[in-house]
Amino acid sequence: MTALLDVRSASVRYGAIAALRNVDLVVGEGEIVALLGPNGAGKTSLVSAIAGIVPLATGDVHFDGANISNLAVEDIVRRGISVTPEGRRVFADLTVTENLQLGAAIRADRQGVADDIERNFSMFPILKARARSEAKTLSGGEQQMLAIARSLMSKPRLLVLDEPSLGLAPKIVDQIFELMAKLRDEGLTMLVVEQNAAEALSFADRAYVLNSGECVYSGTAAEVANSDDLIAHYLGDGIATTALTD
Amino acid sequence: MDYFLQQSLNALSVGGEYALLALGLAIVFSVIRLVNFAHGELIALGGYAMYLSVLFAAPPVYALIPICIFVAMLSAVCFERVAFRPVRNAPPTTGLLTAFGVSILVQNILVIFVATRPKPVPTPDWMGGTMSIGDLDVPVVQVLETIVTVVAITGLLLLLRKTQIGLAMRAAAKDFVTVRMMGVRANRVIMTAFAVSGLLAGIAAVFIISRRGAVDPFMGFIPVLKAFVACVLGGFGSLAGALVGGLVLGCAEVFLQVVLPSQVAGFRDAFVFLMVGLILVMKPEGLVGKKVELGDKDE
Ligand SMILES: Nc1ncnc2c1ncn2[C@@H]1O[C@H](COP(=O)(O)OP(=O)(O)OP(=O)(O)O)[C@@H](O)[C@H]1O
Ligand SMILES: [Mg+2]
Repeated sequence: MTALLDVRSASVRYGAIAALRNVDLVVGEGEIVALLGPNGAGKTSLVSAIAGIVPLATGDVHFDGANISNLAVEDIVRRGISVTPEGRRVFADLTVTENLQLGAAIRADRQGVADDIERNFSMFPILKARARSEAKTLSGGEQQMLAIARSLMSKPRLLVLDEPSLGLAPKIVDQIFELMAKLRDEGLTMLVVEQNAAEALSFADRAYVLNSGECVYSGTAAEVANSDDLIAHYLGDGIATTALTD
Repeated sequence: MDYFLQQSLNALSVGGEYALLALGLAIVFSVIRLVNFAHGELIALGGYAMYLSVLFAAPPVYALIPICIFVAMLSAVCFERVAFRPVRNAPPTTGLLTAFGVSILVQNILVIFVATRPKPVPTPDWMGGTMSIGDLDVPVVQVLETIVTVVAITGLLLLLRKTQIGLAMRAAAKDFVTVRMMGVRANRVIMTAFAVSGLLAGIAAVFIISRRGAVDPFMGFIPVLKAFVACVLGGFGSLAGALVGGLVLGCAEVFLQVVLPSQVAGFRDAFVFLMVGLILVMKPEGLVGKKVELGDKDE
């Protein structure tokens, strides 16, 4: 398998705080990779570094064979990486349709964009019903759907999802995971940040576990899921929470 | 009744002028959080472009109008490119000081290379005339200014609602990083905001100059002050606020002009600012409340 995304020895600092230290991470073409770890582990910092939002203190990021470490934020998506940020960050004052249009900002094919908006609407009927509503009037789950749909509008080769299930009711979480499974089946490569370890592991191919800015484990999803040590130390909450809500 | 209608039109035209200027300030502020105090210098530069054109090329008088608007727009884009872009990521006070720096620099360049004294600038004769609507005789410039304001604001709304760059500007007002994550180029959004602010300032400049008939290096100060007050009055950062603030400020000025006894009419602006102060004491977030409009800064 060829590495689509290849993060080498990446470190991120915020002033004196070292949020991420020498982390390596690979996502192969067609793979689903889960990035796990407790609060403050550095997951979002890694995503931000990939997205070009924060600079790397050390290391670099390669995508499709090219070094993209020093690209501006707006150029990352042009290379084919679309990030659905933590906390969704939909454009609150824009309508659902406008959010989707802006998601396609890098595309010039107007007809194709219009078609893809329709395709998104059939994948997310709830969004179709709210097409002309401002995004801020949507529920949390609907906003998350919108954020993912918006990311898909750029036709990414790699979709990075930062905690898509955060703060959502169990039923909605299931819907989100169903949706991700659908995208996986369509062949989309994904890097998924999750605290909901059990669910993430059940649908990912491989997983990395971060703790205090360091990568403490990486392996196949099954290996991580079966490692009692890992679960007890780093992922306990995630597994326990899902067990409770199931 | 006629008098009332005449003064209403007057109020609309003055309010429209303030609204154009306030919108220019607000649109730049909404995108990069910069209060561009050099906004007034766009008016001066547009005016001097008219003056220098007459001096060196003597084009037909009507051609001065597009020259003024174009130069104001170009100057706004240059300010951004040369002065504001290098300090874009600096703390907000740096941007503010840069704006003052640009303002002082432009004023002094005009003083040194042209003159401190006002210089006459012609505008088309018909702008200075009156026209009759029904049985009312009204100044052409007021009618024109009202109409042009409506057209400009409609155009601005269409830009913001119907174009990709407009969507990006509205979204960037709240979350610029995420807009960039969509692949929208920050430079394009910011440059468009400045171009729009320059365009609006250029349009306002034509009317300001047609009233004064002359340009001087410091002519931008009062208009930018009024625009700033209008923005604060309406709610800073909100485009709707800038519009409402501009109209209310213009109407208040004309109203006080009419009702104040002649002995105190000279203190009109003091009364206006007192009124603005009172409104802000009662409604500190401005007339157009917080989350109401696009471009509103605070979340
Ligand atoms: N902008 C910032 N400035 C300073 N410190 C930050 C900043 N962002 C994150 N940090 C710190 O960096 C560390 C890693 O944070 P990060 O957001 O990457 O963790 P995370 O794994 O995404 O956590 P969570 O699961 O809570 O989202 C934390 O200690 C956090 O406090
Ligand atoms: Mg995070």
